Amino acid sequence: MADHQGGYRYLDPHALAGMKNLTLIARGVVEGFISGLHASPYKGFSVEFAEHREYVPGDDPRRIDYRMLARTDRLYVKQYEEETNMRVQILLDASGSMNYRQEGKISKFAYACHLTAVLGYLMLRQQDAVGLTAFDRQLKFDLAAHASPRHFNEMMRRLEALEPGGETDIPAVLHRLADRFQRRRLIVLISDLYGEPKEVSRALHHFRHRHHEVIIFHVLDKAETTFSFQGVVAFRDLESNERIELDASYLRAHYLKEMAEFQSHYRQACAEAGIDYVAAETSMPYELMLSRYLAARNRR
Amino acid sequence: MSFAAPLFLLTALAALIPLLLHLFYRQPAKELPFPTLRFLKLSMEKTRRRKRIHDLLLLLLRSAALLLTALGLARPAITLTGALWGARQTAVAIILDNSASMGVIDGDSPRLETARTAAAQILDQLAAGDSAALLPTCGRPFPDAEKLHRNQGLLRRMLQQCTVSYQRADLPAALLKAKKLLDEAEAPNKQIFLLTDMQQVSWKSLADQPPSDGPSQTTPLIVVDCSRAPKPNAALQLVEMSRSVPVVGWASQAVITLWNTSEAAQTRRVELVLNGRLEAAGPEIVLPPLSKEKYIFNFTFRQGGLQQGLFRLAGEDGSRYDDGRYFAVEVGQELPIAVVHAERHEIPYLDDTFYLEKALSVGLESLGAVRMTRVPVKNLAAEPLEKYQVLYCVNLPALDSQAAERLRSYLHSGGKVVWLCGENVRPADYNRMNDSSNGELLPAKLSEVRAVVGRSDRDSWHISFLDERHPALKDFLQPPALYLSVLVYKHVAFSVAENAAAQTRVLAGLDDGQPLIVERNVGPGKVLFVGTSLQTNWTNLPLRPLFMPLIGRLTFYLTELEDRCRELTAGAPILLPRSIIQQAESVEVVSPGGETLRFQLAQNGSTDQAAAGDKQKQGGDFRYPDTYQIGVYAIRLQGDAGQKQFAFAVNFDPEEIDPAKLERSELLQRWGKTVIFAEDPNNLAATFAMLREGHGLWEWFLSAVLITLVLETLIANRFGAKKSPQ
Repeated sequence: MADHQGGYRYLDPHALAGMKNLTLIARGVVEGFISGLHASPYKGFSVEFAEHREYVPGDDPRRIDYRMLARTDRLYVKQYEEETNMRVQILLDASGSMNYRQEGKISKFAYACHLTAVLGYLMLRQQDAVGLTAFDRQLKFDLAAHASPRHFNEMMRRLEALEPGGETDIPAVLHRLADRFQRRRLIVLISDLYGEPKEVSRALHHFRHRHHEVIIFHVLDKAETTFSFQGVVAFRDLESNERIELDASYLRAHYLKEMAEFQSHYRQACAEAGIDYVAAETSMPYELMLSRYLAARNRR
Repeated sequence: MSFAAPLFLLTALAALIPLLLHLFYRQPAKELPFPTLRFLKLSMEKTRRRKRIHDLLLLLLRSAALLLTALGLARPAITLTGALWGARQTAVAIILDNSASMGVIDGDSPRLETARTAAAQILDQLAAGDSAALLPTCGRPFPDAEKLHRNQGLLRRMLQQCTVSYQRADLPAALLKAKKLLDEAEAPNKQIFLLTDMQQVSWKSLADQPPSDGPSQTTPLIVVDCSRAPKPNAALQLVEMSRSVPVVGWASQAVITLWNTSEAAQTRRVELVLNGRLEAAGPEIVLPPLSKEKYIFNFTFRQGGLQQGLFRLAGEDGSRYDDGRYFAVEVGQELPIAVVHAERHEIPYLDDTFYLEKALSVGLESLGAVRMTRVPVKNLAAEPLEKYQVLYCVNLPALDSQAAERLRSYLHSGGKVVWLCGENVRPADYNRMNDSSNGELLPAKLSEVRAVVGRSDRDSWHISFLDERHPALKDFLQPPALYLSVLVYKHVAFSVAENAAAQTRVLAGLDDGQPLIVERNVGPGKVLFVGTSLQTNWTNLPLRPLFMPLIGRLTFYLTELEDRCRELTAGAPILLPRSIIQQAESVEVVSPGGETLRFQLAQNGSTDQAAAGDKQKQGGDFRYPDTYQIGVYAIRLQGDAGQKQFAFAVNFDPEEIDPAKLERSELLQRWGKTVIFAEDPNNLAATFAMLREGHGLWEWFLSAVLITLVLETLIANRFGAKKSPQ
């Protein structure tokens, strides 16, 4: 596990360097406290205690926790989590299908993890709260959104320990999550969306119904979008282990047609629901893809 | 279909390889992980049926390509011989067209020589055990022809002995003969070779034959056209002697038809050869290209008796077989005739015999053609009538029994009697005379004397009918005015009895249907009755231009001068009817080459075969078939009645001159692919190779393989993967 000083596996400093000026701004109103970025529907101030740290000269004395002093005889200051106007919950698909990668290339899961890490970092930098939920058929873990570095560190630790596998049931998971999230937030779904498209779309609509903003990063490998296999190939399903032998050359045209319809369905469904749909092919560097997306989003 | 390399057919089993691979071989599949099989399954479902068809098509195409390759390697060929495994025993019929046109010179050799070369090549191709028959179309038949022989030496000798004949070939008939011959052969391979110049006249009988009488799938016909570009040729096609009676010293005329069959003008000269000596030569005649011209040749016979002549074209050209035509003519000289008369009139021109004697003496006697004797009727009984060839009985009263009997004997000895009417002719008396002579003195019963005097319906009769087939009358039919202008004022009517009608012939008739001149055979003799007188109060006939030549023609006809000379086409048999030969004991035939053959005849009307010689008496007639040599054949009858001579001028078939050829398409249309045409008669190697190996089909199979492979590639790629974008 990398330490929180920049040694995270999924956080590449070079990638970050290219994104230092980018922000992820909520489109709609978000619940929280205006802290410079996001509009809040609420008035007043509300601060939530986050954690202690040692007092250093220059800290505001009003923030010294005297109770800790009495207990430990050392000076600590309270660090407060400001309730941002945006909570971001990253939903990371960690099913078996996400483990696919072409030889010599990055796997979809690794790509998604990189994306997750960068998004998390962006949120942290914006002082927005970010949470992470990993799932396959079930929730693997669910970290609520917080805006502290310690939380981010935990998030990275969990991310790095996460192994993809298991079958997918995206609609069920999304519906469950949609019911759980009370406050409005920005939902970032990073997945290959291999579920029943109509059911997945309905689940996404559920989020929108609950007034959440949704961004989907549809992660696919180039092999899935081009299907450049030749001859007779025995394909093994990464989730079910089912095996099927076929003439890849013969089927290619039909497969691509199905794949295009699949993507087109989500594109259209997301457009109808006001969801940002981002095609994230692993052949494009994630930082480039994200930069383009954020730049375009911010221009709108 | 046959295969030149049949062992390669075993490689056709390779066509099973794609099927076996399809059934049993599974290409080892590389296993690859994939995120989801969802879309793959969907695609498989949707393309399953089409993939099956695609795979099946590919399977069929691949199997077909292998099969076609195997078949092509086996070198298939369509053979008309039906031989599957190559050469088998063969029977060949070689029809050799040796008609007159095959004597035409193409280049530097006659067509028959080309045909012989082709025939020799055919014989060279035969192997031991094969048989062949040679069928010359014309000429004297060979004893060994039209039979299958294995002895090639015999066939080659026959081939060398075949010469150009003067006849016309009948190729359809020859073809039928060849086919029947081969139908009986046991050899599995049968072929008919026709070596010909494809002259159209040789195929004249083709329309009368059903197509099934020709070649067939099992017995194909190979036509070798032996004609090429002929040398320029002019032919003497026809000779028509003039209508005048051939008599010594009298001018004769021959109308000669010349035919230039070449595309260049020809200059030729006509010559007359009589009895082996050049008698006369005409001037040079220029014949335009591809033209027929008539040339009139005038000449005079200087001798009487049987004359053998030849009109010929001087000089050499493309064919010597059509340069001359023979003829035979009996030239009249001092033929003994008698004019039997009653009382002579004091005034000569009022005598009944005046005009007759004038016609005979001026027209014929003065030329030495006849020797006329006047016999008073009272001397008739005592006169040796046998020395006269013709008796003219002019206005005689009915004869007494003795005279009548003399006349009857004369008729039975071959004499000819012509009755001419007059005032002395009383029908009743004549009828009695005739009845007492067994009805043999008159050709018909006389009924009455009819005259226009006292009639109001007409002032004359005229001749409205002449027997156009009668040898003495056929030249007087044109123009019709010749005989239509003959008026009759008085005549004796006949009544031809039914039982006598068959023996009686009406030579001339009047416009009211009454016969005027009637003829009848009495044994070897003849009797004619002219129902009018030669007095001008009876008829104007003596004053008409017709009269003198008619008397001359009639006289020569009765002397059988013309009857003794005939013209035949080469190959046609000489026929002498029973009526001519019945009194002869033997027949001598002298051929143009001088060969003399004598044949004994059976006696008196017997229909038995001849006692000696190979020429038979057929149905009572004498038949001599060996007329393949052109020229004049002299036939002499020997018997108690003395010698009689006939002459037959045998010439080439004039239709053989026509160079028009039958189009190949006509034969192909009739017989289809069972007819093959050899292109070069001097080199039949290609034809033999094709017969042996048939029409090669391997190119077609190779093309089929290529097409199959192209289709296979197209189908494989059409349904296959498009190149993935890299």
